[in-house]
Amino acid sequence: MTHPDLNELVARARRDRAAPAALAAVARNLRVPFVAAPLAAIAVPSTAMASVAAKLGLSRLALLGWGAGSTVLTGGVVAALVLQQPEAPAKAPPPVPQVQPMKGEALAKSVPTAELPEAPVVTPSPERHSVKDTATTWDEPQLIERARKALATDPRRALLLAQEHQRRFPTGALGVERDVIMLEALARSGQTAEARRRAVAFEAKYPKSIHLPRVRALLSRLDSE
Amino acid sequence: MPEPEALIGPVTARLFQAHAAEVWRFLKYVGVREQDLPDACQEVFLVAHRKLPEFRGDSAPRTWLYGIALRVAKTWRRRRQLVPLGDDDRAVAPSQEHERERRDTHELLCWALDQISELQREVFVLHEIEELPMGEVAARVECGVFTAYSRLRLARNALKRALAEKGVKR
Repeated sequence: MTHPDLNELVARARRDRAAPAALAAVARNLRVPFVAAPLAAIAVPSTAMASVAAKLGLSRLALLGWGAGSTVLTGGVVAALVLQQPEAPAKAPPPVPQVQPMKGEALAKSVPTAELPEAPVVTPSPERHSVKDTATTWDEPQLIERARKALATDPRRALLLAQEHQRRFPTGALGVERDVIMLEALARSGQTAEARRRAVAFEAKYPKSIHLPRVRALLSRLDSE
Repeated sequence: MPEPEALIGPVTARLFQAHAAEVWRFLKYVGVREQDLPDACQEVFLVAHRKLPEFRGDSAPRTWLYGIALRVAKTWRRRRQLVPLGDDDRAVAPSQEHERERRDTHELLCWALDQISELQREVFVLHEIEELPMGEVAARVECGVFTAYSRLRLARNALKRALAEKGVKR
């Protein structure tokens, strides 16, 4: 049996990932919320991720846990989720909650604050698509996880859930994840201008975020549409 | 139901969300036993929570965490020396062929890393696996950059020798 050489072993070690369940167990001990593979199931084609990452010269680390999936994930769970994602939401999406655009000034000075500017209140449509049945009882990671899952099939619901998170956990540990979900949800529900504005604000506010490749991929998608 | 109070603050919780996987991997390759990884990983973030007020922002948070993880790993390695390694979970037969192969290669590297000096190992793992620039590596292990480069070179040579030996043995 021949062994891979040192370089190959190192390359594999770089892709070595802790089992999400193991990290989740540590999080439970610390009593903090934890999303095992944050937002990885949001469908961003890995090619898009790779090209954005290459453009930005981002290290492989920045991509760990992301849609670039198959190369870095060990569990396979998230990769499976990515594969399950439809490319676009259903043909005739229901009316989406309208989010008021943010003011230019608010964006310009958004950098030092702890949160992105408050999301304006949504006026939910009368149809009973609301989140009140259970979302108010979910804990923080549950809420984010549901929002993330809703993105693929029902961005409107994802948006509502993200806003529910913002209301209930304004200083929550998953605020950044929520902001990314919100961006995606806005983009997928057709509110592209607002999505774009928030993506730009996100870039300025979280220049070192691990979610930046995703946000930039979203921006370049919006630009190419 | 009241939510249990977290043992670490929201900032450290965010660090955990962002970097726990990297800290976990770092601990593993720098010599913490597989079965000790959950405790060691938890300890890193408890220490980070305590030391957060001292964080001056002169390095990236991830790099700062590696510094803490280095010290935590040292104590766990010492415990490992006190308690004989024996048949730990590395001996457990993995169920799937792919998983076995994955574990084998990771274990091979861990084994080789066990054969070299601690100082060399720390530099090698920080630079080669965690991909930290050498300036940052030197700062983390508290030596000059030239010394760090020297340790890196020695580590590479020693690892190649160890692996060659392993290849012959098998």
